[in-house]
Amino acid sequence: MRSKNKFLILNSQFLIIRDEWRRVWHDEGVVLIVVFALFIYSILYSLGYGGEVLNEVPVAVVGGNNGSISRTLANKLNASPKICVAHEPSDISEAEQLLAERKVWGVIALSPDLDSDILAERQSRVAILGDASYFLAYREVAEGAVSAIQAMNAEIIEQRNGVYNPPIIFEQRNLFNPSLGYGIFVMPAIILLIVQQTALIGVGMLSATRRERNEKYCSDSPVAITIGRTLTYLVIYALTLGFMLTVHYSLFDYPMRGAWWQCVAIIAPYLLAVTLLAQAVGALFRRRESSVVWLLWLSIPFLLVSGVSLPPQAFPQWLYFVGKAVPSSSAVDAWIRVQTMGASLSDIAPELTVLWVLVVIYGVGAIVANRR
Amino acid sequence: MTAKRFWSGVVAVARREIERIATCGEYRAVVWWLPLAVILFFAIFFSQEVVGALPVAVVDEDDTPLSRKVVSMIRATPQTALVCEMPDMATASNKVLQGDVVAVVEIPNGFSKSLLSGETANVIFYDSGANISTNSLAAKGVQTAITTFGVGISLQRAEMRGAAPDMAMAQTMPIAFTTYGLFNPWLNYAYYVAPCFWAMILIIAAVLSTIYAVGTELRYATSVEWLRSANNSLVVALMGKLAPTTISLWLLSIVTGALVFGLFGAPMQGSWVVLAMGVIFLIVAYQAVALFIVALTASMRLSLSLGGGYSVLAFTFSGITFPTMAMFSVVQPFTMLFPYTYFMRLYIDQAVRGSEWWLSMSDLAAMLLFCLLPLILFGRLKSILVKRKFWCRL
Repeated sequence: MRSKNKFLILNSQFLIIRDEWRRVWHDEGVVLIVVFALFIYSILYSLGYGGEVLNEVPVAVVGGNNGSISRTLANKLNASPKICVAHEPSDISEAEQLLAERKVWGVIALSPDLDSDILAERQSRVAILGDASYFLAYREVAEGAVSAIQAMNAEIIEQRNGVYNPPIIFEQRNLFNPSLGYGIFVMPAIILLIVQQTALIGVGMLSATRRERNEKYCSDSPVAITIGRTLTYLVIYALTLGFMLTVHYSLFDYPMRGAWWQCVAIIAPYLLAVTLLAQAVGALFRRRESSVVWLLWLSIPFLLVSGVSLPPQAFPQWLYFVGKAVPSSSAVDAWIRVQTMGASLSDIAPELTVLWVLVVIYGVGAIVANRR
Repeated sequence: MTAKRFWSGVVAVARREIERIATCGEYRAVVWWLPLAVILFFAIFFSQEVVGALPVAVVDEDDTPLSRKVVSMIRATPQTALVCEMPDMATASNKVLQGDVVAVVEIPNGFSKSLLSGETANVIFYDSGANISTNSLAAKGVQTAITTFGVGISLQRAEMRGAAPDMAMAQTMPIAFTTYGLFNPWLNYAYYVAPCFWAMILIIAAVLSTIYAVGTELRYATSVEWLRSANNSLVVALMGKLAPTTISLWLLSIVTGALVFGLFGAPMQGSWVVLAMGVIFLIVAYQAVALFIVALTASMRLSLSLGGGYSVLAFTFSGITFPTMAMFSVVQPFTMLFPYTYFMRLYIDQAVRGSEWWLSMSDLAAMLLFCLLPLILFGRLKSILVKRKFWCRL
């Protein structure tokens, strides 16, 4: 008798999963959002950030009166991988014009007396004017110009004294992202955020469609419904996200320092929390199209509160903590530290704890939502 | 059709639309409450204006008066908050992995010995590279402190050799340099990044509200009633329908502008007229693209998915955070497919750089081209609205 009962429960569990699985695949709107959107967005964003690093930013060099030392400096600036001397306008107003027309992103203004000053062992001045309305370009111009001038200084001092020994060399070593690529920096976070956003919208669409058509689940038990629906979405996302994290990741050379079981330790509670949250939120929608309308706005806020694009020190601390209620915040943080930096599971224990707490809270939410 | 009949038609449709907005909570949310809520979210998010001090670990292996002087100079920079001095590199890099610090500064053993004997000492700055913006901020603070310290030592060395102070300067640094951030001398991250997000909300609102306005007519099979109220003229129908949402989007943009320039104090160096035209063109261009998508798909749900995706993608392809010139050359032309790209250029030219007004005319013209997009599918839009088979599609 007992074993038969058990079989019945398993059987009804199986029916729920089969029913939900069919609903997903027979609904082109849901398939587009839950399955294809992850591929489409990830590829588009990866292509958008695919150049990875900015180099050879065009700048203008002005002044210097064409002396030999000025020429050497201009050549040094041009040789820097970060910048290239695209124009040598005759005066500063011409240089301003080039800036306004976006032909150059910085102006390096040499003193007209540069050659005579250096020969007389007087200090000469150079102004590095970077276009700060585009931050990445500004940084490249500033860093490229500074290192070229420092190299020039070293050469001048060496010629004068025979040796160059500055008291301190500031060495910058990058531990985990040697090229400082932009895609490597943002894409791991974006891919996880796309998963969350598509799950929230897609599952919301499934919930609302059922409500709109007044179609019941093939079980009365909210717990069984929740387990069945969650398993269905988990399988789908395990497959699609699994593909992204292996094939797509190697295509674009995104960092994969973590072992597979470390990745699973983060992704499993993340997907659970996300799909449970999606079921809980789905209860709020009455119409099929509502989930897009209400949730599309959240993509940028979710990215911001995770503290990935701007550090947590850049925005109010309470907002960062409130943001922890969103699964992506902890998952993205843990994911980057494991995959990009090679952290161990004990290093990310606090984030994993938050994720499992969210699983419990949103699990209860999903059961309540599936009760009706 | 006489002009009078035309305008009375537009007014009739507009009145009908206002009633639709007034009676549907979700419609009101799309046009008004949701964008307003996200706009306010950004106001709170960026309220801090400057980035707070970033935690950095220091490993002072030298532990001499000179190295401790360097540590205190790093501590004094506004960009870094020295949370901890770590006994060795292993403990310090663990702190990075745990996310407690963003970088580690190592002052190697023998630091002061090298300095005192006139040789070169080095200080090493390790950052994670996992967060570009955080790392470069922290590096900048530490580098400034170290460089200042180094120049001080060089000057002392030169003066010890008997050079006068200005001679000493010329000897240590034959070419001195100063870096200026043009157009944004405050180097304020929020001034530059927050308006981009605010503009994103305006375009999401424009796309979703337009698709909602037209899509619901198809979805709930009321499109014939809508056309009838416009005397069966599609031009009248569209003008009347979009007038209320367009006006409410303009009101939203005024609220946004008040926050950006008023409360937030972002710079405004150029022409208000050109900027205002830019905002209006941006909104209308995205409404036009939304109409185009509805006409193309004839489905509200699909339009929302496509339109939503299109509006969200604009940010990446605008070249605002990751510049266009750094993108793959085959990807670069795609940046031209988003009105947002032109608007952000116009915004930076007018508000941030204070460029001449005529430099923004090409951007206005480009946005205007997008407004013509629905004309291609005008005939199809009309037939969709009257044909039964396009109604009630989910």
